[in-house]
Amino acid sequence: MDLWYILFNTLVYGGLAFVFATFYAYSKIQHLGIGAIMMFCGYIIYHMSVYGLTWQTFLLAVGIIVSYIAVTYLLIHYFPDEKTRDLLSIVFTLGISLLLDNVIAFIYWPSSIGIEGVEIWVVPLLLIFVLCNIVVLYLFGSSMFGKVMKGVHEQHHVIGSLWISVPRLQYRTFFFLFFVLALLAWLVLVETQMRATDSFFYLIKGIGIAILVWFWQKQWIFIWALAYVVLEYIMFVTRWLPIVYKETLILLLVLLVLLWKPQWLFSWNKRSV
Amino acid sequence: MWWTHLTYFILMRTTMNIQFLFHMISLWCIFYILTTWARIFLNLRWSIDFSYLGIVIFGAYAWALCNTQWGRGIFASVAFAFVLSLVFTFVVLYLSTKLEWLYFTIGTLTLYMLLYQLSYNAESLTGWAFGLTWMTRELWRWLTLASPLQFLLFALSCALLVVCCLMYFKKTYVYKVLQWWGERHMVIKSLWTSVSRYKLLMICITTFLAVLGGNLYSFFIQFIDPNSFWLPMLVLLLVLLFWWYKLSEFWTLCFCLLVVWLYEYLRFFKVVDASQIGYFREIVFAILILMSSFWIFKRQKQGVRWF
Repeated sequence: MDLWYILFNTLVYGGLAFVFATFYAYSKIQHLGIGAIMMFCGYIIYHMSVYGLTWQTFLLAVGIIVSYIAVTYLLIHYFPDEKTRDLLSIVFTLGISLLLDNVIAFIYWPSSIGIEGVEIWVVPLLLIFVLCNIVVLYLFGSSMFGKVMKGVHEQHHVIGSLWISVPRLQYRTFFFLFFVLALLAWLVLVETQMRATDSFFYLIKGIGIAILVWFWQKQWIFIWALAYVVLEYIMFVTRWLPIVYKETLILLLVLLVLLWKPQWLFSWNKRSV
Repeated sequence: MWWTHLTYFILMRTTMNIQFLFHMISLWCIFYILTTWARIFLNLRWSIDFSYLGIVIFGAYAWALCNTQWGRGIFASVAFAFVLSLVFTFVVLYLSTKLEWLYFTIGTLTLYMLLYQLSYNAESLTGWAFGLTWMTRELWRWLTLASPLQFLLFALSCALLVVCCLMYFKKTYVYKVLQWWGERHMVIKSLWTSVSRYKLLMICITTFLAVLGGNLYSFFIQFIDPNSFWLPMLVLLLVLLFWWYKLSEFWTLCFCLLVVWLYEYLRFFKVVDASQIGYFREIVFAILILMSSFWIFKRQKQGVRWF
């Protein structure tokens, strides 16, 4: 069994699932643009590794960070009605994904890029995986921060009445999520190759795993990502089924969840057994 | 003023180029058919169904396969694609009975991605990422459209037929019931009227329009590849912009003309390098989608009902 493949994909898919689930948890925004943002960050990092910090790279980096926060701000503050925000976030972030994918292709062509000379092998990947689990388990399981954020999600008016600045907590979390996306992009660049046209497939994997984890159990996201990647490895990488169809697995799982237990999606109530 | 001179220059440039006009009007007809089915569905269903975007591209691939693999014309490919798409839409109908609102939208987005995946990976059928080409504009056996003028007349005929059928359909009792069902479906249900029957009729009509639009699209450009999956997404997202205003047929035609004009102008008059024109076009439309979707929903916030 190829441990490198399993650990690498677990970290990437689990990371995207974590970002997507956390975004939805604290803002009711279904950010379908996180795949494209990750790719855009990757291309900026690649450009910096090849050409250094030029003014174009600096402007692009500032631009993506500012627009990321601006989009979040617009969606949260201009659309307080959650039902409206639910649907607008799909349309709006799909537009963002379309824009960023084509900007990358316009500048760089849909060619593959990667950073040579840096490799992270199995043991460091394993340590990163363990660290990610500890962080999410602590952050969302037992820490005061996790409890407050859970309160922000479920009863943000109550949290606000405790003189805790909910927007400040939200935006700190969103900055952290952007940092996670940039880290994932760097990981993809050094371990394998990145291509802008793959952004939507990465996104679907992340959404699928977030759905499987029932969104509210973010502390188990990387464990479930590991389980999914192992299943994908057994079914497709070992050539039991054609590997080109491996993205189909997560899509079929999402459909099964929708048909069987749709309340898993975006639900804040624990599933009744 | 400078902007009047610029507008005049652009208009003169486009109207004096006959080939550009042919392409623009032909694509205008196809775009009108595509926006019409999206509008009908949004009006009657009150939710976003991404699976129909997949049916548009399936229709496009069906025409390419019918022509390159089996030597059939467009009429045969429309019939073939319609029958297969109905099977697919029955799956969507089952989803719609079980899921509402956002769950339905996510489910249809997943189906759309499944079709996108298949178009990329079913190499023997779809030509992988390179797509299918070398199609001839064959209508029926020996009847082929050889010139742009012939295709233009054919496209105009299709669009005119769709307009006439829709105008007649809007006056029928069935359409009124469908409209009530979209807005007051609980009332319809309380009258012991079977809603499923009307759902089926609506799905058949919109499926046919989606298949027709997809077939005409690949019939027109004589090429289809997975990148074309973005086109119906653009159509849907742009339709959302003008659907909210409940445009009449006339304004819908004007909107289609404007979008198609921009689409073809960027390609014909080489605003950027030819190899990058596709990406530049998508960037322009993505910016348009972002601005307009924000504004639509902002106006909805001010008390005008959208759902």
